Amino acid sequence: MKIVHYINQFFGQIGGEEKADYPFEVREKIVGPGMMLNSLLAEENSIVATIICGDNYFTDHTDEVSEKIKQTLRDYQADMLVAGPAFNAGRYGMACGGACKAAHEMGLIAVSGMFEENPGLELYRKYGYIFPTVNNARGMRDAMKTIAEFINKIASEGEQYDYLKEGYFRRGLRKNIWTDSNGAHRAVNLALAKVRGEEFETELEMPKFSRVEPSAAIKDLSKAKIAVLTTCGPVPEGNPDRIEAHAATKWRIYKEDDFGEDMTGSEIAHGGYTPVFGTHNGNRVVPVDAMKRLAKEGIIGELDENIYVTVGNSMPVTRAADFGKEIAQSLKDSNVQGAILTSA
Amino acid sequence: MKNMKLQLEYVRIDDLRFGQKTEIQDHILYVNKAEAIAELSCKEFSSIDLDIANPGDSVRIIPVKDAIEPRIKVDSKGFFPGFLDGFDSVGEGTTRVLQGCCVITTGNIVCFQEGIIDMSGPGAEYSIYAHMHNLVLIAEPAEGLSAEKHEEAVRLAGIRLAHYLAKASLEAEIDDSEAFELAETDEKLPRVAYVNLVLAQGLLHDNYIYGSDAKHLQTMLMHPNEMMDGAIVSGNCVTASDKNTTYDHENNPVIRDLYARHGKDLTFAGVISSPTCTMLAEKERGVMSIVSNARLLQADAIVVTEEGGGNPEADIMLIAERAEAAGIKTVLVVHENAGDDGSSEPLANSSPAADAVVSAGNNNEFVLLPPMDKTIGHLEAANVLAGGISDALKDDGSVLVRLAVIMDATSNLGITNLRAVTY
Repeated sequence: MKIVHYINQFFGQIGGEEKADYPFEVREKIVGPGMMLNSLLAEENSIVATIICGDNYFTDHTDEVSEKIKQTLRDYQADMLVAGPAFNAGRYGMACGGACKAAHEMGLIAVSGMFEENPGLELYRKYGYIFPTVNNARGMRDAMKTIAEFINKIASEGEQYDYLKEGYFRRGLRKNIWTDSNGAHRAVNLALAKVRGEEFETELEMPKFSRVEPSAAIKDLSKAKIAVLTTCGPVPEGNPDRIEAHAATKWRIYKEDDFGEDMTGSEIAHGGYTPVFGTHNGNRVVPVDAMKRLAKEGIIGELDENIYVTVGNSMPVTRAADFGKEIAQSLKDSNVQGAILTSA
Repeated sequence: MKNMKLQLEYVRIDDLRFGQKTEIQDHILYVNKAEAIAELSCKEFSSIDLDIANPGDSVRIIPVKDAIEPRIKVDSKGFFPGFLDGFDSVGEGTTRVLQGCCVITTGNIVCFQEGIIDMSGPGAEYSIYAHMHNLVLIAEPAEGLSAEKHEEAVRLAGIRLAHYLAKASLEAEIDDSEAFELAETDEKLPRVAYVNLVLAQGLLHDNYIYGSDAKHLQTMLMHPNEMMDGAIVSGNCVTASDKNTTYDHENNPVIRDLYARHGKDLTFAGVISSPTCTMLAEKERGVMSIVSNARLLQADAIVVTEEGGGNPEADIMLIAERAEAAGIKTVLVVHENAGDDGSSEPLANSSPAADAVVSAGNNNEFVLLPPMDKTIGHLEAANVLAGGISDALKDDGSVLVRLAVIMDATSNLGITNLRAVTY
């Protein structure tokens, strides 16, 4: 495995707090604690480059540094990123977490080490295998030994999803694995355990959903600009932006004209309900005609020209939340006071 | 004679070939293609073709609508009561089964609501149908045929073809036989009932119970043998992993497991089949009736399987709440939409009452399916299948898809050994 190692200005032997603004740098060699790590790795695994970045520089230029980390991982065709370990250094922990996130977003493995109270852990745990360390660098050898053993293991056996056995902090991600018996048999086992009053463990803990506070009521609807949003997936003929039928990865703004006369040029991209009724009749799923009538009658001030479209079918909640934030910003930028969201 | 007893007689099929006569010889099913096609001829189709996909073949079947196991009642020579047979011996007598053989129906009906079966490669690991000898129906709709009529025509052709094949089993030697009877048990054993949710959302998300559209039916109590005798036929055009196929209904794994443990670990108290509708009032009515039936059966526990995803999670959570409140221990079986990297909330609804849930896997995980030498159907459908991504189809013929598009990979019935874990 080719590994890129991320460290801060201190471990990169640039300097202490006074050098925390040290900018992003890549060295095609092994630096500082990387020496120890590399010596503990199996022959086929090695550090191919080291990234050094000041902790403050990372915080102040997160987007830029993240992009450069990704570019470095690409340049060196890396399989993995190791960050730190950061022990209990807060800003370093945040930077190591951010570096793990960059690697994770590229589909690469990220490994780090942190003290359990490092704030970087809570924010970034899902992006990498973060192992517990003591709260200071005296634990370097133990930390590197653990990290190296884990790297050697996943290099030969593939990723390891039993966090209790491996010892890394639970990432909170769901992963498919094969088990010894089918779901039906496991379900009957669970039912019997419950009846007998035995201990049982659910395979799926109930998700906790965040609640959104509704905004205050619109004072005068007759002066308000209202937008229409839909997760029903009406798209112009031919689905030019190729919005996916399931777990869509994008939302788009269309104008009424994009859908042809009276929305008769619409198609349905949504894969979770029959498209028959919305095809060539976009008003059935996003009520542009009714909203225009309300505007004409003076019940609403005006209809926003932007029609916000995505497909809600099997949409992961985290992605939906991201879309929501982006769309809300766009609505604010267009001075929209209210919106109607239709869903399938 | 109060107790119902059903004998399943298995005729094992080891190979499937076209031949002069439709017959079974030495575990090889030969199919007279012209005769089979003539059986299916109707005005709804402009053309009908059949193809064969055997395990290990470099074959991709896409887009798949349904899978049906050929079965036939020895007495009536019919099957699928309400469609191709009456009701005289449902759940009792003798039923012949072509084991290891399946009819697969295909078609661009509601294209993105169908699925993929790969007969070899990594996709084959996820689908039970990759391990069967499949006769694939490829029927093109007549011009102007509506999606609803197209669905109906393919559904009927599929069960007719399965029945046509099953007739050959009547002349064949059986390899094995199994009796299904809910014999009396020790009353100290816990009573477990199975709650079989049946998608009935309309707009081609439909199933047919004894020939009737489940949308128009109420929650019903069933003997498990009824399910084995073709009580439910899938009419579903929904995301592949969201649909329970006709094969799945015939071979429901929860029913199999409860039967296997009847009299040993538990008493199998019965099956409650209930339509999953879209309206809240209909859901509440269904849940009331499910719990009421479970209490009538004096069930100590129920195992509930979902069909579909998202909307039906309103039903399952409500069932868990009401059943647990009535003192009935409840277990749910569901698949998840936890995001590509597993970081998202896996269900659309939740309840503290759902404290025992079996995961049938995360639908959203990607799998790269390498190119196959042969495609049966329409490969370009990969770009629009629900669970595909817009550039799913690569130049070399490989497809990058979510597990959701593979038939039964993450079946809500708990068919496979797949599950998701938190790591």
